[in-house]
Amino acid sequence: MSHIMENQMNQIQPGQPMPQPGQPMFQGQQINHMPPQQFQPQGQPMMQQGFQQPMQNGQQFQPNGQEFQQMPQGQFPGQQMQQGSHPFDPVGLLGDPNFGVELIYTLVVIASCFFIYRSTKEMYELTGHRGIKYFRNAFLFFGIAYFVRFFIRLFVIALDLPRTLRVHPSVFGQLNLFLFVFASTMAILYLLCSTIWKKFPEKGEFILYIVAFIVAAINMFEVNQLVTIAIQLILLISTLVVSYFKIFGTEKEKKGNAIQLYVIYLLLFVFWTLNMLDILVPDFLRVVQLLIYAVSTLVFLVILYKVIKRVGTT
Amino acid sequence: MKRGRLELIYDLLRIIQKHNNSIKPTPLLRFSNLSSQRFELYFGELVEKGFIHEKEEKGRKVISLTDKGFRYLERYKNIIGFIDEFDL
Repeated sequence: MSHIMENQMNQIQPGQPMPQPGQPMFQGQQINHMPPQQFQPQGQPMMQQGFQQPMQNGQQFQPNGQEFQQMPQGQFPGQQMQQGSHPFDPVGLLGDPNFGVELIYTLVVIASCFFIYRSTKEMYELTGHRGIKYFRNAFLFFGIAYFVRFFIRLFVIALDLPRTLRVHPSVFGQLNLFLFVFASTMAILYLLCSTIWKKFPEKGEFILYIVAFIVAAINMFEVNQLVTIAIQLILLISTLVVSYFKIFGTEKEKKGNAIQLYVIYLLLFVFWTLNMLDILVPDFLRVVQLLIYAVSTLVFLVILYKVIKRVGTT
Repeated sequence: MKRGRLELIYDLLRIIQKHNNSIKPTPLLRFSNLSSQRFELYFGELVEKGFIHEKEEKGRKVISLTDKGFRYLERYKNIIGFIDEFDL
């Protein structure tokens, strides 16, 4: 499902020709119902032959000279209401077989991140410990990244915002991707800072925001999505290296915890990378997508379990 | 071994609790095993963060724990466990 939404918002770039009838527009979809020249990108008014005046929103050109006809909101010009289709589900998201799986996966991860953030609140308020602050912020931003990844795209598509707001779909795609990359980079930076907080300047948090903004901006303007993945990989590997070397600096009785944490960060690193590839490079890992979802969920649940075990459910 | 910030706060709060939640500043300094300079620093932090408050008792200034101070004592082991668990 992520690919369908991703493709819908990103595939049509400004200036590119619109897909022709019969050509796939979104993954698994054909625009069979759309007559030629009738679908125009938002923001580019359709010119009516002979009249040379832009058509008004919600009006449809009638080739036989009839008056403009009002079109229901959420429907593409020329698109007939299919039996069983819903105006709030214009691209058939709910019918996608992976929709349910991705919805559950996203909800579980967001809930885990929220609980981690919420349950460490009192601890941070009591101690003001910077390591705890960075750790909980990392999960706050992981939660935001997953929220943006799924729900913002879902709202944009399900509420048909490009048509409602008369904005080209790719604008929402770019904005969504920007927010996702920003939030996920912030999460990784905070995770890194939680391991090196003693060496990180107390008033240096704004640097993290600047770095994340630059990474998100690079991703927005750089065609090759692998650049973003490479940057996030470097940050994650740094986290791994720091937690690996911490194993040797830890007292004997605490070594077990340090090793466990290293393994968790290692899994987080592997599955976050796979997730990024899944999102940024459509169809890269379609076959093992469910496996990635399952193991990623497990990683977040293990972290949540470790937090609750120590903090309690309060 | 030098005590960490969280441990020092715990020790100070624990001393106050052990003295029926009412102790004068001088004995607190003595029991804390801190230099007066470091004591001032941590004492200020405890007041600022609302872990302790000073009150008058029989014309003398005494220090007591607030609810937040008691909560810190309750949660201390969990906090340390959490910090160790995630190597923070």
